Amino acid sequence: MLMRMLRRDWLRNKSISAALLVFISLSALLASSGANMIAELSSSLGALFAKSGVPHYVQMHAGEIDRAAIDRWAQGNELVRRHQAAEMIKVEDAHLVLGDGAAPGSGGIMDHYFVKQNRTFDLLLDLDSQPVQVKRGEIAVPVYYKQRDGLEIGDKIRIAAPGFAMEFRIADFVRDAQMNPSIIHSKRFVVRDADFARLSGSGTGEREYLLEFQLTDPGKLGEFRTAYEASNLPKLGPAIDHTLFRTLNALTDGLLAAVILLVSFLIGTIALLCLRFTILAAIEEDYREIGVMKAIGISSKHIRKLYLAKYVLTAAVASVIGYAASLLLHPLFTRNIMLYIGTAPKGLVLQLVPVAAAAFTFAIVIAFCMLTLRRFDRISAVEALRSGAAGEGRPPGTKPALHRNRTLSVPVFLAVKDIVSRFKMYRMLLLVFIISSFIMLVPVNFFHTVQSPGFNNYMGIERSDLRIDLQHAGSAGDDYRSIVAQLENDNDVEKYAAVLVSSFKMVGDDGTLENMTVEVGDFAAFPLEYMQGSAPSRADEIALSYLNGKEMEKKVGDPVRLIVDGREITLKVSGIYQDVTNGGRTAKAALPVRPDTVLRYEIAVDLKPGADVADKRDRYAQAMHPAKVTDLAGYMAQTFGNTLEQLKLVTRVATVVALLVSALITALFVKMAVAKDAGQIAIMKSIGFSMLHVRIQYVTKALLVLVAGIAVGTVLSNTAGPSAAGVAMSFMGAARITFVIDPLQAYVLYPALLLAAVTVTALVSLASIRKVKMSEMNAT
Amino acid sequence: MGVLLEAKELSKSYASGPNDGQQVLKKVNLQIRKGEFIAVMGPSGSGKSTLLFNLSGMDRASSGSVTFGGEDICSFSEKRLSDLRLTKMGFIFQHIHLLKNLSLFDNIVLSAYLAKRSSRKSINERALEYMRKSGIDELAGKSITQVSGGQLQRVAICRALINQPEIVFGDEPTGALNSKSAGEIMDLLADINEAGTTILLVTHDVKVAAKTERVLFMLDGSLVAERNLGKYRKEKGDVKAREEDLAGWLSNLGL
Repeated sequence: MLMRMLRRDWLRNKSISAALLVFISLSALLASSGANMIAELSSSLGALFAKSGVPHYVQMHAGEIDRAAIDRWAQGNELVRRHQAAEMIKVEDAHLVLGDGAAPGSGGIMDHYFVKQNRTFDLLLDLDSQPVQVKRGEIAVPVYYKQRDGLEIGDKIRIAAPGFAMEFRIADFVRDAQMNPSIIHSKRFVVRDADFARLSGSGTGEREYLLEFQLTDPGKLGEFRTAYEASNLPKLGPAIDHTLFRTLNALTDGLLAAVILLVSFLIGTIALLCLRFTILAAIEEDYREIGVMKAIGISSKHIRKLYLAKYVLTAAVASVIGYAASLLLHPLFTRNIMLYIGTAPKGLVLQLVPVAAAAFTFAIVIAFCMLTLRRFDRISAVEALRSGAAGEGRPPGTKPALHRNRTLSVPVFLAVKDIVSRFKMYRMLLLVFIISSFIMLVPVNFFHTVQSPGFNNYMGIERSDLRIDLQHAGSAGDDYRSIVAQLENDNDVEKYAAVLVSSFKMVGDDGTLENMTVEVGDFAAFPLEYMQGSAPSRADEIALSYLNGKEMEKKVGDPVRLIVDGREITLKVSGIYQDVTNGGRTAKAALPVRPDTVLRYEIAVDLKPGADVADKRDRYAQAMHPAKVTDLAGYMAQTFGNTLEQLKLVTRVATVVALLVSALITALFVKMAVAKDAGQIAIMKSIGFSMLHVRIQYVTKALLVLVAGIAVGTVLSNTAGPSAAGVAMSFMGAARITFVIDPLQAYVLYPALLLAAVTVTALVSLASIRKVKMSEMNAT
Repeated sequence: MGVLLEAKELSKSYASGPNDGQQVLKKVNLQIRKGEFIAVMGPSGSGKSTLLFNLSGMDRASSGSVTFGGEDICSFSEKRLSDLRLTKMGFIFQHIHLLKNLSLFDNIVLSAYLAKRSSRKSINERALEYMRKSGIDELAGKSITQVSGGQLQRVAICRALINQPEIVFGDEPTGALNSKSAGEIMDLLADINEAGTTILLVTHDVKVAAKTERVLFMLDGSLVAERNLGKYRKEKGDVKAREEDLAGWLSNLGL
């Protein structure tokens, strides 16, 4: 009997039941997919790290090393399990040709390191997650270039330096646990030992080292770091640890998973609102029958069970569909993980995560149903039998009065009046439109913010037309002076400011010494927005990046102790800025610089109005070799290229979801409203309202609510949106995001898409008004 | 008087729904002249209301034709039919079909505002005039939940008249009212007819039909008989005689 009841109920409310099914399925699909991505990411990263034998501590060093001294120190330190000094040859961008038809210098801002495969740990893996093996003349290229440039196996990589040339055939692609993410500006190319020896002997490129350590107990990383920093071992370069590798590797896909889970939550909320609406409508429709059932002694609990059965079945079917769809869409969501990190066999627990996510969606829906169905307890049998309808509470008011309206046409006035007098009915629609606008606008605004030139504020770099980066190695000091001289003599240059990135020792609160990368130079010439305080303007001031400030527990005005020229000085924190580069840990100060502590030079250049920035960039790139010259947009595009691609995917998915949800809810709402108002529509038609008049009325209602929804959604996305993005970005180093909004997109294009979707859906859903006739309204 | 509305061979059958396949109207032929006051009587299910809905273009005939003012309205588009109902026809129903969230006054002026054939000021004045004549001018600002059934039916009559239609259709306009209210409503309709408006109404009530000048009798979808009460029309106080005449006629028809 129950099945017969359910079937009849389904047939009676096909569109409502279908909409409910879609929303719950979508929510379960996204919950499953998001959870699956996190499970996949965690297990794959674990497998990648295990397979490659990622080092726990890495000190980069630009310059020569004393291997024997390193070995002695490592052997004498009981924390060290294994160590190695991996040699790398940095090939200048201008000397490298990536791909068959490419020109030299196509590598962009990345540092290209040619390496041999390591023997014991920090193995560079192929796309099957096996250690890469190449033959002579072959090369394995970072997956970053496969994705960015579309390089394929068989393509050529050429080194074309003055007096030296070498050509390689791409035989494989490299998964590099340390340098995979695009946010890391170093990439390793694997060549055969003999080829490496030839390159190394040619004198082309700078030699650098990765001094890598695996510890007996990774938990004692802090102790090891202190010991290393206190030693006399090489440290001309940044030191990184495995926790940062993990964070940076997980960043892009982790962010995507977080957004998917957020959207799932929002759609879940819509499903619940929809469910509530459906249940209340069903109660209203069956009010008299419920009264009869109560009158003949059937308990509320039993009646509730009858209704609950329908929703249990709907939710169960929807959750299964959602979970099954998530399995089908799995390759799409994990494409990036597959490419960069690879897949690993998952344990039973991890395999159950997406099932659990779908089951969780099911449980929430059922709990919500039970809560809403408690309303049965409040229905009195006598009242239900007497009135036969749950009613709408007090009768609708007669204000605003039609005869006082001077501006609106009759159908538009009736639409406005209906919303005013039955606002409760429109609340759900409004809420859904607010959520839809929010879902759509936040990713759009965030995407535009990341793309905007103003995003430099979150990268800790001042805004300028051009940026010149020079690594400190070999003759860098002379190169630097030559670059400055060229800028000085160039009439197109409006202004420039140089920053020298140096390594200093910082004295911790407990007296321990730690390396700190500090940018030293002129911070007044180019603007950078500070979260708190301002740029250092005096010799005793220092500005900290957000993550540095947070980790060091320093705020504006606090002291920071540094060792400068052998003596300890105390600087005052002048400001905190946001920086997502260099792991988010940087500082800026006006300190004296010793050439041996310089890691790199960064010069910001502004050109005079009218100067051709692209042309100047290309000319400088040639003239200022080996420095890298980029414009700001190019720098950011290359740093965030991968993230931008993912964000673009999120934006598209969010837009489609928002449009779909809005269209579905509009269809559902219009159909229910027409069914509920059939009597009133028949009256209007009988006194001469045309179909067009009725359509205008209902479309106006939907659009008015939508416009209000978009307005509130826009305000929310401009206020709560940046906070949400800030939470996601805070662990990258930018906690206070201000959206840079493209008014055309945010205020015109995307709202217009919503308006179009809702208008078309409302018009299509209004087809049933043709069937509403006074001749069939005898009982109303 | 010229012919205002004419049905020729008018048939209606329903392809689906509760009356599936049933022929509700069977080749009905009918002429209504301008200024006539006509009642359609007959047992339940005889097709009275269906005839009214088809004559007014609210429903479409299956075959045959309906001519209004010389034009075949069966070939009209939905839009033209709406315009016709808006400007040339008025409707009064048994159940008080008014818009719930408008005041009584706004319900009356609604279709005139939509038609835009005269200024709002003159529409408002006309509405107040009809309300005064109907004895409900004190209730203009009230909502439909604040007045009696009889008063609501007067509002419906005012609404039907606001666009000064050529014909008013009434589907059991007194069916939901007590006898006193029904009498008052019929007096009002008689006055409207006196002023020149054609009226066609469907009723079960002999007393109501007795106030009209021509009574048609329907049976199983066909017009089977007609009684002209015109001879009594001008004779004051002869209501009793009209009712008896009609009752006798109906009795002969087996009702």
